Amino acid sequence: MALTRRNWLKATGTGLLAAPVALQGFEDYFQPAAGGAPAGMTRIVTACGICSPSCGIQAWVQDGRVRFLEGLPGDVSGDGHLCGKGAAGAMQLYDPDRLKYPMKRTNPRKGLDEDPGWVRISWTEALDEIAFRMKQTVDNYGAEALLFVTLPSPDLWARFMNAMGVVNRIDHRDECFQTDTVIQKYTTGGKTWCNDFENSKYILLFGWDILAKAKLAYATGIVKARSNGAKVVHFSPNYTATSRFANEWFTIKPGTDLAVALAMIQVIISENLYNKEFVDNYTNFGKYETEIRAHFAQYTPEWAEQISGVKAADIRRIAREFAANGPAIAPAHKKSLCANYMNSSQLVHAISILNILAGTIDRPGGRYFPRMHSIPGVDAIYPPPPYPPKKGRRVDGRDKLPLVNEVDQGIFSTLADGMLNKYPGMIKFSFWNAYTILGFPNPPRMVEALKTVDFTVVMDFLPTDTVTLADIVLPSAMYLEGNDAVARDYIAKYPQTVARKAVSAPIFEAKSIAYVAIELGKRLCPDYFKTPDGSWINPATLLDEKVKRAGLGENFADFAAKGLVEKPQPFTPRTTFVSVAGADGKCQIYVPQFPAKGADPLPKWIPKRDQPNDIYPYYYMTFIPAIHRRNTTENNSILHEIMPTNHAIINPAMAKKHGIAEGQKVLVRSRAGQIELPAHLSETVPPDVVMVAHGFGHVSRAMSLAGGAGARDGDLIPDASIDDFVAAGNYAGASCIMDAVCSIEPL
Amino acid sequence: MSELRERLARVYAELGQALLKPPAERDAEIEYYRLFLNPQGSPCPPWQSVWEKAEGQPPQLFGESHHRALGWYRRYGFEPAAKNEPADHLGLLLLFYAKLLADGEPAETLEKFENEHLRWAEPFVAKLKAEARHPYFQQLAGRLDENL
Repeated sequence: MALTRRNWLKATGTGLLAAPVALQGFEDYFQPAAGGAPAGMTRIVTACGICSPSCGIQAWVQDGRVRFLEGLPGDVSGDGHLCGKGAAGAMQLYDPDRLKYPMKRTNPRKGLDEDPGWVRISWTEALDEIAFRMKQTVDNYGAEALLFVTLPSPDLWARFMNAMGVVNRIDHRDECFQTDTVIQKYTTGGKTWCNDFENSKYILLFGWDILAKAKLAYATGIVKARSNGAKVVHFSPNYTATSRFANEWFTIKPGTDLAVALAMIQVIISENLYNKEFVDNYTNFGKYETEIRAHFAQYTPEWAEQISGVKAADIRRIAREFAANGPAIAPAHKKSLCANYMNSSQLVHAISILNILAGTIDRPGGRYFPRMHSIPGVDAIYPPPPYPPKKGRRVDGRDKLPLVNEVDQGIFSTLADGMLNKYPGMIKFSFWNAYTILGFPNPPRMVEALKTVDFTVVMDFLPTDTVTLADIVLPSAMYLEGNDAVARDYIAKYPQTVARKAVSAPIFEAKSIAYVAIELGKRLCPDYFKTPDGSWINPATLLDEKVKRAGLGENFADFAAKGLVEKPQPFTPRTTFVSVAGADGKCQIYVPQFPAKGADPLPKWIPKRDQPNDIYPYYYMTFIPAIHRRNTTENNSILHEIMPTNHAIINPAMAKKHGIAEGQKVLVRSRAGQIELPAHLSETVPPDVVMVAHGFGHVSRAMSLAGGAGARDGDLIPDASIDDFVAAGNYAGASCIMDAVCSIEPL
Repeated sequence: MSELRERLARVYAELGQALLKPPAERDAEIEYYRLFLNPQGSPCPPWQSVWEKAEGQPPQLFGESHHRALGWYRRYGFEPAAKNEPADHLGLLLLFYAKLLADGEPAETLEKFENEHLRWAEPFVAKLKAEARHPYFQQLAGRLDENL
């Protein structure tokens, strides 16, 4: 403290009270207190939003601010618990780096090294400018020149994009569960997240490292299954938390799970071990038996051993056990080793067939369809005028994959190629909602692509790397700042819905994407944002109506007071499955609709895209650590403290060969790029694999904790052209993020 | 003495407002946002709980010092006009400190407030000095340094 004032305070003494003087400006920033004692600690029931099972939360809130988060008793998703990420959620809410006000750039030059010269603008100014730019783009170049990098949710946001005829809405699901969505639609009747592990006796995991990912709805189920005496078998190149928990773990060459799955089908079919009751009554096995038997005959366990490195005797034994010791289940999910090679469409089809042969589709112990409260969307409550037809070219080339087009998901991995090579200059306007370039294969290519866009808006709650190239930045509210009704869809034997109640008003000027949808809608497509009485759609009234129609309460306040509403009912297994024409309501092993859509009716063996070679002799694998969620939590101070950075995890044998010591910096290269990061030696990784955790390598200035920490795994992952996918038979559009090969050298 | 007190109150009120409101001149305005509200990460976040690892808490907005600062304001019958923003913005703290001075609060009170809410200003001002590129903020950092 400065001496001048200190001395003065001493000199003035304590007793001297001067007459109060007026203080200019004070009233601009302070106002009389509302009065009344500040509220003590209150409990608010809400739901997590870090990952999709949305575990129930009870939040302890003081004075409008969250002090503590814990699991919600009675909630089926989290079983009354939160994972580390969920418990640390308040650190995201109050992250100092959060985007706070709408901002716009004043420097027209764009580039990673350019200072954008941000200034604050009002929401009205931001929305007016965005609406003007969108209109100008559509008028001059058509709706195909608009790029929306966002999921099609919430429903108001989807309505806005539909009303504007947006053709190019791109999302990340090609890196995630898109293959499963495509396959389940035609084989079992639809994508489901529900795996009844608890009642399963045999759990077969291809990659599927769910315990290490800490998705509670699944992890808890597998733990319960083991306690109930179930057997867990894990195929995975590296030894993980799931391997340790499993009864048996088999290391497998990366990208060869398909060979093992095909051989298991061969064993089960040739030895007639399948669940006869289910297969005869509810599948098209009988109708296509000749084709099916002939097709799989070639895939013997001996053949699979040559490809995968898993012993034929083990494959045969596991196949027999899987068929005999049911109920059995083989989940297929997302970025956890199994669904991200060039052959993942076939792998997911093969896994689906295994489940069908086990006869556990919508049966106890198997993959089942959720029983949920039916919460209507905005289009059901306020039916819109007819949407305009979507006219124009898909910049990612997705129209060449009709099965993916149908389900309207993806495609991150072909976006940069489309923008730079296929349709250069086509995209004039882009809007990024809650996605960052870090989530793309080969992010530097995506940066190049984004530089070709005239006007870019980024809406997020944290400063992602994409912000650097934005013209306008909008601060997004996060999950703890909004109201919603969240139906359970991971564990859903009977309907249960949790009220996601805002535990805190949005900080600073953060707003929801639904607000943006309505405000842009008012400016650009007003007819779609009016209620029948002619007033503007109000999100709070809409939510009240949803709650009422779903039978959750009189209105949202009534529902929120209950916190959790459920309707226990007996589980009645389905008897009809696939609803596409020609399926006759049965599960389809052989998919007769596929050939017309560029796919094989039965899964055939194809190798992964990149194979180790002289220049890049090693497999390159990425993973999502338990303590982080994708690329969104690295700046969370608590999670950052637990896992601040990533490493190149290699086997000590590889380290010895290259003279690499623990902690030493290494250069890892692939045909796409190179990264530098410290090595970590571990016996858990095979000697021919380099493993790197995803989510790190945020560009330096952007986030105070995560910025500059670690390396960006995606720099080594090649992006793709749509033609690569078509040529390789990747008909469900898997992004191939596990497909790279690499070299390593010490620095 | 009361004249000196009044003069000091004005200085702190002025410094507080300089931190709360961007200057009108365009380059200085851009610099204000770059330093304090940068959507690409601010070098000088102006909130106390970002700087103080109080009670084992990691850097965050609306941390312990926000709650303590609110308590101070309320005891004197005030609340910040911006409801959804942290109460421990250095600008608010200085403005409130000026109010305490102007109201003739005793030295013990002033000292207590300083101890609870102004000690972190030292590393903040040092960072501001190091980061400021525009003369307006170089001068502001200098004046803060002199007076804190």
